[in-house]
Amino acid sequence: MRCSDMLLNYIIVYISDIQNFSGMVVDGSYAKMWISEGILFFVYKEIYEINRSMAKQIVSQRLQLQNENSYPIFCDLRAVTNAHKEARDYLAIEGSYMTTALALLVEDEHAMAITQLYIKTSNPDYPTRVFTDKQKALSFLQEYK
Amino acid sequence: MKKPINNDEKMRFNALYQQIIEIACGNFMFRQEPSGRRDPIDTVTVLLNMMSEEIYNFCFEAQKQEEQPEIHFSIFLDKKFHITAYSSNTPDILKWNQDMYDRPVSEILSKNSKKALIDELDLGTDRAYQRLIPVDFLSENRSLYRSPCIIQGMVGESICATVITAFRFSNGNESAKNATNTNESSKPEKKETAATKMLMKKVRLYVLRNLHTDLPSLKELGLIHRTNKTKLKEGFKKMYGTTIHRFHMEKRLEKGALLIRNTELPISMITQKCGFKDHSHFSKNFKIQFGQTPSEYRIKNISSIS
Repeated sequence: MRCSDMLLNYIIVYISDIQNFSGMVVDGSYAKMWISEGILFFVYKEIYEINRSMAKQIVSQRLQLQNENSYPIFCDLRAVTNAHKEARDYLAIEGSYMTTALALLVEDEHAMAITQLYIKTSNPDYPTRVFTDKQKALSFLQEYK
Repeated sequence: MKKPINNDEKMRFNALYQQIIEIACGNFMFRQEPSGRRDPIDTVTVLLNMMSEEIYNFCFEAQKQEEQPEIHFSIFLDKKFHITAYSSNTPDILKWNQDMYDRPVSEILSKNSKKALIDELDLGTDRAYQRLIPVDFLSENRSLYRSPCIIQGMVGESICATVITAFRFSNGNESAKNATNTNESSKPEKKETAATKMLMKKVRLYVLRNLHTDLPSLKELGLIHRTNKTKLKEGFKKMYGTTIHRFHMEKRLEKGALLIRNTELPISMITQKCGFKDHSHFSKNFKIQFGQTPSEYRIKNISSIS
């Protein structure tokens, strides 16, 4: 029951996001992404474990959408269970071109602790924070637009 | 009042104790599968898994260039993914306490690794080289043993349809080294300290963060990282198998290739973003690394999402 409620909530939130803008939504192999009001929305599809080759494809697709511009990124990690060390490093450093700031949205305290370890060990050089609340994540990104 | 721990919690705590003991004994390939309940015990389990991965990477992964792959063990499967045979050392390594002939592969692999195995086979056999993928084998007490493996589909009359070959990396000169070490007059090779490794990791990160510009000289780089030129030069080469400036060049060109493939930025701007002062310098080095000029590379590799 809780799970289906959450899923419904999740779909409604993003349908409303998508309805509010008229640009292109990219339905990539591993994530849906779009740019709205100066923020790049990046919503992962259900993935058990991200590996390095998946990470490279993810970055390629993001850069294609961004083309020539840098953006603050709202990244919804809730459907991802795990990522290999190599993938984590690639996404945080080499794969972070054209990122001005990053807000990661996670499911709960469990994912929060894991994501904090990721940030601490992979040393991104752009402002990065983890949230369980979507609105707080978006307001953090406002000043980097 | 002390809250009694139920049997299930007791088992989960025991698994955590075992994991900590394995790490303390230097087994950084040990992994525990979380229960999926996302409670604090699961959180500690995943954090310990990630910690092992970080330690393994810090101590060994960077020096892979100097290491030789060795076959660790092999497991053969039939068309239905049932085990037909395995090398005789496999039960010892994976701590099986019974024969596993005719058992489905799901009894020896984690759910995700079974999926990875099928995905790998689906990719087909026409590739020139098989790549190594991390595979989690189920070991005793539901723990996991991670090993880099190649997965190969077989052809021919045999009932064996798939082979999983697990590798480990070790220094190929180990036996030669042991022999020389018995000779007291020989000078033992200097080992890097944890502080040196930490320093080299920081230097690598510094290089990756400065792909848009020229690197300072080794002397200046040494000053920035509070070390000397020689230590920096030798330490980096030893840890990453390449020189600092070559690594910087390689990564700048990789960044250039990524931007050429995925954006419409003019090549002159990409040249600048990758820290090259002029197009001919970028183009010449790009051709050495990728075998074609940036413009040729763009025509052949342009990807589009629209």
